[in-house]
Amino acid sequence: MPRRSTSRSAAPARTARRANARPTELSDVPIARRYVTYKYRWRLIDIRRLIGSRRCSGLSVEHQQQTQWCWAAVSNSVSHFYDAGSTWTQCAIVNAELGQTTCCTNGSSSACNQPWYLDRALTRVGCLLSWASGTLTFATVKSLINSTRPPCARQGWSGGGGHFMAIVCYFEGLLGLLAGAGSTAKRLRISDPWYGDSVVDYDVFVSGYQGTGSWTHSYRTQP
Amino acid sequence: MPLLTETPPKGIEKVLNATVSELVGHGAIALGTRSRAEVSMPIRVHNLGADAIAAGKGLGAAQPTGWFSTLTTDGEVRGTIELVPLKPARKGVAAPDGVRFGGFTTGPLQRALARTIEAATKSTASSKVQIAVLRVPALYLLALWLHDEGGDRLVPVPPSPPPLKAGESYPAERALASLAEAAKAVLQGDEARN
Repeated sequence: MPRRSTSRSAAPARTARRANARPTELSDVPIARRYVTYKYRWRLIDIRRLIGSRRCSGLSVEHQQQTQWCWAAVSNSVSHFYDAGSTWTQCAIVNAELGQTTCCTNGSSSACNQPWYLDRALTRVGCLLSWASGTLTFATVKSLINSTRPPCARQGWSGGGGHFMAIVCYFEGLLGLLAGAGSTAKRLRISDPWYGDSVVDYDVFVSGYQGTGSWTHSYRTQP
Repeated sequence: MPLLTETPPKGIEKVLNATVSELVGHGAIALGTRSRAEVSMPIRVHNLGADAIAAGKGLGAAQPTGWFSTLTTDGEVRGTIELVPLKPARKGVAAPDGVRFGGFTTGPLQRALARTIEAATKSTASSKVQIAVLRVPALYLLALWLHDEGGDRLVPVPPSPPPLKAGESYPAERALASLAEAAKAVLQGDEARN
């Protein structure tokens, strides 16, 4: 059984034990073993779709082309969501916002691959209605998606840095109760230019997105 | 000897069952009525902040944040289920033991994570190695955290931040030191930027 070496850094199991404040059994589960197998159960489960509500806006955020371009990917996707004929591209938005001319040919340069502000990028493409620090309530998110005005959000990471994404669907109902959500059965679908699409618990999106994110800013969009 | 992971908390299988049912019920996972779905053994996930990397604190500052399970249907990776600790009933009260649904993420990053775990499983077939997942979201780093008697190693999942190369195995101390300048740059940003 592998245990701690003489290295001063913490092993995975060691930090886990500290957080749980109770002894855990270490290193005894082979990951190759299949944990749960499901077979031929889906026809029954489909009936449960009737319980609760869900709605999607139709927005899908494209993958960011450079590591710092989440703001460009989100604003460009919102632009094309409201106007299928939009001629904006990620690099064109970056050129315009950062005052550059080379970001469509050399996007990874230090002049182009920079963090920036989503409110400014959304203003540039003409799709910002308003923005503010803080979160939106689940009811507000529902209202915005129901009116096909998907909001965007900034997640601030514990320890510094942040990231932008869009909230594109909501799910609500009794199904979530089954998955340990307690009294909360509210889910969001997040379209993230780096991590991809995800269904997350609303409370986790407020605090705990990707482990340590906190919802710090909200952006209302418009055509 | 295969890769080994920390024993998951009791009750995690029940939560996974309910999660898969919910995701199918919502339509988040589209499945044929005769599809065969599998959930992999949950793996511990830890997060590390840019401030810790900039300060050279290393993996000792990483915090466990939940568990990852890969969902496959008919052999195809569909995404990653993340389970997080239960919330305390009210402020000031300790959280109860156990986990709840945190998120289900699809996309190329999740498929790359599954491939990287598979590759690590093959390359460590003859030794005892603990596995966990390390996330440094501020630097867009997702990596396998492998620990054996030789110490801690990180294997970045593609796409990885430079100068790290995806799929290569680095001594953890060296890998994190190579990201220190990028971490310092992150800390200079103001609150409304990414």
